[in-house]
Amino acid sequence: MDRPTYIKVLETHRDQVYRYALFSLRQAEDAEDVTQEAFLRLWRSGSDLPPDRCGPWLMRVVRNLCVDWARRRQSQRRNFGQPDTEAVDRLPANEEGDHAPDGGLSNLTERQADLLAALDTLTPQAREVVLMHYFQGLKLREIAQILDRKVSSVKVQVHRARKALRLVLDAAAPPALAQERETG
Amino acid sequence: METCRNIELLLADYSAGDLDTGQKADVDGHLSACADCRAELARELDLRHTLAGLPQATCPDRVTTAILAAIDAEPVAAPQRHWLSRGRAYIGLAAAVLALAVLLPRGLDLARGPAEPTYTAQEIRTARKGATTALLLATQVIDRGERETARRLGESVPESLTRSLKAITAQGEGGQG
Repeated sequence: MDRPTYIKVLETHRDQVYRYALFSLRQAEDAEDVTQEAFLRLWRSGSDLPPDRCGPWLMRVVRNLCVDWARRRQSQRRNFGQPDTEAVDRLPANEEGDHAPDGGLSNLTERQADLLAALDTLTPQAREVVLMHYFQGLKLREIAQILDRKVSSVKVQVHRARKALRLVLDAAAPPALAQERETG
Repeated sequence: METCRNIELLLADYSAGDLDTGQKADVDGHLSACADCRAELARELDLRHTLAGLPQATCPDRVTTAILAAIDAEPVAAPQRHWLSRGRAYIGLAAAVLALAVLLPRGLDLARGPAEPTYTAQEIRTARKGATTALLLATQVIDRGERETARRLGESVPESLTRSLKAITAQGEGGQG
């Protein structure tokens, strides 16, 4: 892939890749590192993929990187205890002024915060499918391609995840409020 | 009529507008008669709406800058070759070598160089035609991206083979002339 084509692919897919990493890892710094690594892998692969097929390739790579990253983080926590979650607040703001450690995820409505908390209760497999479909707008057949699964399996996963999310959300909110949400 | 279970599995695609006309009609028909599935659809739409409303974070420019700086510091990556491509290149080269073997049916001693050609002009014309066909086939097998691999492999073919071909070609031309 030549440089101009690569830049085009980078501009087209960087936000999608970054968002997936951010919602998967919940830390802007980690998401930035993973995004950078995913695009470097695309360059190093010397891929001659046509640009329109780079999206699924990148999503597959960023998904695998996030899984590895999360696993490593979990292992570090086991070995070194809980991370210093306030450390990022002590850092000076960068030149763009957006030093929010969670990439803006702290400015959520109550409903969105509930939903994100509910997402955390899903299995990693179910969570990634939900994020790809509902948040990133990927079609189920595209997700199946990225995850190398059958479309029917992805459909079942989305269905189960929806039911699981509903259970968690209904347990978190008073029934009257939950009913109001459905009718409203 | 589709079962509720089947319809529920289609609701994600249905609400995203990704069903074909026939499937959509099936879901519409079922929904009009099933309150449980209508409630499930409402939950599906609620989830979709809420998740779509999450902040659409954008990749910071510093990430793009870092990526471009990193790739500029690296050599241009060579196009990735699938192992099959290399295999096909070998097959193509093997076909070319076989074509030469056809030209030298009466023994080839690589150590001593080509044998004294004792072919008739007709034999040489036939062999050249066969070799041309085989080489053409080999060229077609090796696509553009694989030619470089084949060229490198070709450089390792013993020089004596090339000399043999030249000697036979000269003999053929002499015989015809």
